[in-house]
Amino acid sequence: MGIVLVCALGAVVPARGAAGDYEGQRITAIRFEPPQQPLVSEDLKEKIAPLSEGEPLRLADVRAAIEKLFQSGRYDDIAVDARPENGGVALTFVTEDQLFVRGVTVEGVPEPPNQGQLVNAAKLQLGEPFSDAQLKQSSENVLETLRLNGFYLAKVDTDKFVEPATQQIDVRLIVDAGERAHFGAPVIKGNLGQKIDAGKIVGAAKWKRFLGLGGFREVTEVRVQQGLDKIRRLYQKHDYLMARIGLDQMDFLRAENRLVPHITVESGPKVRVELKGAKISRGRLRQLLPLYQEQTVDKDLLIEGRRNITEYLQGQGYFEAAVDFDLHDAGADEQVVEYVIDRGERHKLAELIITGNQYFEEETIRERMYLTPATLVRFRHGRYSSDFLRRDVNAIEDLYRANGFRDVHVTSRVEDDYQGKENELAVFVRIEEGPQWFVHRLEIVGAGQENLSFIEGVLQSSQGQPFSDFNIVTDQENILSYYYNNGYPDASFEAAVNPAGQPHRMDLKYTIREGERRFVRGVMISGLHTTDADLVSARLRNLEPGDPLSQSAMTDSQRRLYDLGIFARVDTAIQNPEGETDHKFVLYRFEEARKWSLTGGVGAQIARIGGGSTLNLDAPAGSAGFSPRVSFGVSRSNFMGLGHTISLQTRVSNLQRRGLITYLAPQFKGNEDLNLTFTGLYDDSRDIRTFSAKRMEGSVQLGQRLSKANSAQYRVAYRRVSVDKNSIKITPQLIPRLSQGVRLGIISGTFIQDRRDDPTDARRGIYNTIDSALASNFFGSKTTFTRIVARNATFHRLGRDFIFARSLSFGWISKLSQLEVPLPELLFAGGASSHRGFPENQAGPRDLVTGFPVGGKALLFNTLELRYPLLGDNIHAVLFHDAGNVYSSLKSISLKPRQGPITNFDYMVHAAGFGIRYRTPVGPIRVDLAYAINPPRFEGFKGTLEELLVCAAPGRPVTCTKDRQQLSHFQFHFSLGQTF
Amino acid sequence: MHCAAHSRGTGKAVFSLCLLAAASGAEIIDRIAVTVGNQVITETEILREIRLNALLDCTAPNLSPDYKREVAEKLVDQALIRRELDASYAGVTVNPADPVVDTMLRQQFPEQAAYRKALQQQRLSDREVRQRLAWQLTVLRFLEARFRPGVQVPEAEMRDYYEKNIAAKAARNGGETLPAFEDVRVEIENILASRRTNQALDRWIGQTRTQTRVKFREEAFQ
Repeated sequence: MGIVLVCALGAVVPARGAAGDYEGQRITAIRFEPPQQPLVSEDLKEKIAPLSEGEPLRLADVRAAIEKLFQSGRYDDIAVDARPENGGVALTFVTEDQLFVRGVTVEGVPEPPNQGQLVNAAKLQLGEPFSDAQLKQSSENVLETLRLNGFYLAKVDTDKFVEPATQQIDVRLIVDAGERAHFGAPVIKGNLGQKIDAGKIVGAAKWKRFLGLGGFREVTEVRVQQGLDKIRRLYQKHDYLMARIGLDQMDFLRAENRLVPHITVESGPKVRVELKGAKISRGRLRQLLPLYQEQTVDKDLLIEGRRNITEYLQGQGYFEAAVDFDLHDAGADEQVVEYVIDRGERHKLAELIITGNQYFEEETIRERMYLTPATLVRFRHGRYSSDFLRRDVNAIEDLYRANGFRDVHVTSRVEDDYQGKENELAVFVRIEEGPQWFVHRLEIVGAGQENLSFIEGVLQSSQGQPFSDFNIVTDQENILSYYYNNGYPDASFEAAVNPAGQPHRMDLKYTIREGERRFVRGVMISGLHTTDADLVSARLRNLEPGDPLSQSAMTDSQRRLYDLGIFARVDTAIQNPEGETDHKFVLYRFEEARKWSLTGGVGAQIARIGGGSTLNLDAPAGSAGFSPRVSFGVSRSNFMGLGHTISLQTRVSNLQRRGLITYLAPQFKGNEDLNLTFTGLYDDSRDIRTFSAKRMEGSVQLGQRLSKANSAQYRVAYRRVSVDKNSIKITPQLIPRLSQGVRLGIISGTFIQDRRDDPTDARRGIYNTIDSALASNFFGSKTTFTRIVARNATFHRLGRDFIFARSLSFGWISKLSQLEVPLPELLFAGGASSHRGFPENQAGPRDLVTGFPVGGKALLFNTLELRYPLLGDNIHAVLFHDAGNVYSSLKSISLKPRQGPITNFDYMVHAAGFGIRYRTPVGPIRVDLAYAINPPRFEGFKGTLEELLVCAAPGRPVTCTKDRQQLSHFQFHFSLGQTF
Repeated sequence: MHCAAHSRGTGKAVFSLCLLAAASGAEIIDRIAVTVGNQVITETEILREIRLNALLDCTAPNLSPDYKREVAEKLVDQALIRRELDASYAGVTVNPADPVVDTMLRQQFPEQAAYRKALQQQRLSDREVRQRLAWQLTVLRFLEARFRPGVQVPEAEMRDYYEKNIAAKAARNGGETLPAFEDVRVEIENILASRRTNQALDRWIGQTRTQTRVKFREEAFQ
């Protein structure tokens, strides 16, 4: 700024003199061209103020008006012209609307790439301003993605559809993909290393078909990448850990429509990794040493590898493990990475002693620690490493600081040969809590009165509460989240902290800048072809015109729409997000999912399958059997555009023929807590030992979620069950009663209370169910009875690793007329999910002649389980005790452990056992071995059904050969999911 | 169908037609020339800038399309600076009424009459000139606050500058006394630091421009 110019020059701007001539003239009219503007009249007036009729014209105001109009985001171009009129000046704002992206489709491309990838590649974001330059770039991006997938001959044309009223534009990218190119023979250069030639490299890449038959494969992006990865693995296998594999280019041979990869290989030296002083498996070593993943050897990676090995050994109990490394040449083109390990003695973390804690209980602190003293099974040497200890100390300090202990200091000390026991460690953690700091005064500035009450309700740092940075951050998150969800997208938060006059007290000041509040102008929907628009509208909540613009309302509605299960994609965005307008459109763009889906499968069941043959009745408790099965399913989603799903599932095996047709209306009547299901079932099965049943059922069920934990189901079912006379393996005297056709009309209701932390593998919580039903001739039933089945299960953590789980089940059927309850409606139980002392459905009363189970009218089961980790984090063990039985009547329920007479089955069977659980994402895989202490004895029948019918025929002396049997003491169960 | 209800491909043509129709017998007094994100630079702003340049440089205003474009490019850079300034460095803004602006103005135009005449000739107001000078100062302060703290001048570079400039100049001028390095160290450091600060600004502007939608309307530069 040191330059001084003395200006005496009289240069003039000659042009635009005429524009300046209007300066100061009275404005006689203000018009807009076109007259229909994207902003409403009041907004227009506000944006162009202070320009108004009757006022003098100032060019600075015109400039400001153009800027404000443009900043609304709704204009692409604005010019203002002036003309003399009525002794003043008339202004006309000539505007061009900005368009915003709505639909984007890419057509004409065989997968891969799929539609989603191409739409993403186009980078035309929903609701964002559109420009022709962007579209050109989008076409280029799509072409690039196509080229990566071998479509080098592709051409892209574009088509646009504008909806002026909403300023939206749909873009179609129409692709003429041409033929997909095939790979050509790769050109490979560079130093390939020993024993690896070009042929091996080409073979490894798998760009050629099997054994080279049929030549090279078609190019896809995934194949190119996978091929390069496979070449890298080839080099790793040959110890070339530093090999560089680069794809320089892909040459396109247009005449042959081939792509020739040009690959440069720099094998580098071979790198051998040697361990001295300890053995670690090769697989584990690959996990521990980053040089395998990074494909390079440098000091940092070697150090990281050393740290990983050290921590691994410490985790194995070698707490003093020392690891060093050396990198040296071993002849030409070979390097050796040598890790020298001194494991030291194996230790055990015998004690973890925490002192000085007053504010928190020791349990609370231990929950946050990695260090674990030795346990019997899972951590036989405990869990300790210097790194773990450091992390634990930090975690404890963080815990205290988050609760106002700003001056907390945690120290640790490790003592070896603790209490004279060799190689036993004790870790002493000393906590000096220091004083707790509190908030003395909190001042909130800038929040509107209508928002203040909510804000005050969510504050962690209110007056008198512990003071901590953590609480301030939580307050910031809560407050900003509130504002963002209530139409204040520009809200900001600032916290200032000052020591108060009193000791250990802080004054806090929260300054909030709310910014402009934004509201919903309307919701615009696109992409629906068959779906009823009302179905969508009913799921858009808190997005009515005039509602505050809320991100959570938008995403909640999006979730509800996804939950319908009929959309492959639901995008939501604000139109013109950057534009300075108070009212904004919310956009939803849909991609409807495929409507038809087919499933099919072939499988087999190997299990104890009883009563499979009418020729032999020797094994009423079942015997090992094999049952092949075929299944087929078809479903049609979004039926009639209503979001409903209709599906048919069929299964055929030598044990079962089953067809199930279901009509599901989720979020019934727009209520996301209700769903309605119609079901039709045909089932011809032999899933229990005693008979084959044919079941035809039609039912309607309304499911209702009452609260987060509670739900209910209401059902009306009408079914006809018949028992195959030829399959009945019980005393012939019972046949007429049991084999007659049963028609049932039944209403039932189930209440479910689920407060478990994880439904697939609960660690704490409660699970209660109660199911009651009434079959009555009022509903078309031949027989009349009631049924109630209830279960109460609770889960308790014992210490850090153990879980105690218990369950009590009770069931009762009571006939309300002279007619007996039909056999298929009786209570059958026993097996993996009820009582593991029995095979599947083998509990309870049995036929006195053949010994097959006949079901009961009451059941009582009590199950106790102790669940604990066994190996690592995924394999757990269970000790269990199952007690109970199915009883012939309510009055017969008995806790006595002895069976008494062989014809009496009303006693409590006890079983204890051991199980293994392997955790998977869908729940644990379960294997249980149970020992039944007092399994039932019963009379069986030796012979065939034919013989049974003859010997037990009326008027003949009973000459049936009896066979005294007992259920096996040992039962083995394999299934998915916890027992309860 | 009203003027804007067409697909984008014809939108520009329609806009021009609307403009022609609206402007028959009238003239365009202002229009968007460049957009920088959601900020606007209008044609009259570019012309005002040209007149301010002419007034402060004591030259005739250059209204060639190329120069208009050059000025517009500078205004784009300023718009980016202004955005950054508003977001994080509002404190460095200089008020046009600040005495330091008076001082600058007096240095530029010692004689009030000449200043008034120049203003009249360029159709500018005193307020506009003051705003421009205040903005220049604001940018300087912004540079100091935003980029200067991150600038370090290595000792070797200072010595190199000393040898190649001050020592060489003294040698060329024969008998001129060569100041000791330590005596001119601060001065050298300031020169080199401002060079580096300017380079940092250029880098930042380049980077920011790639992240901002900048669109020039060719009609405004014809």
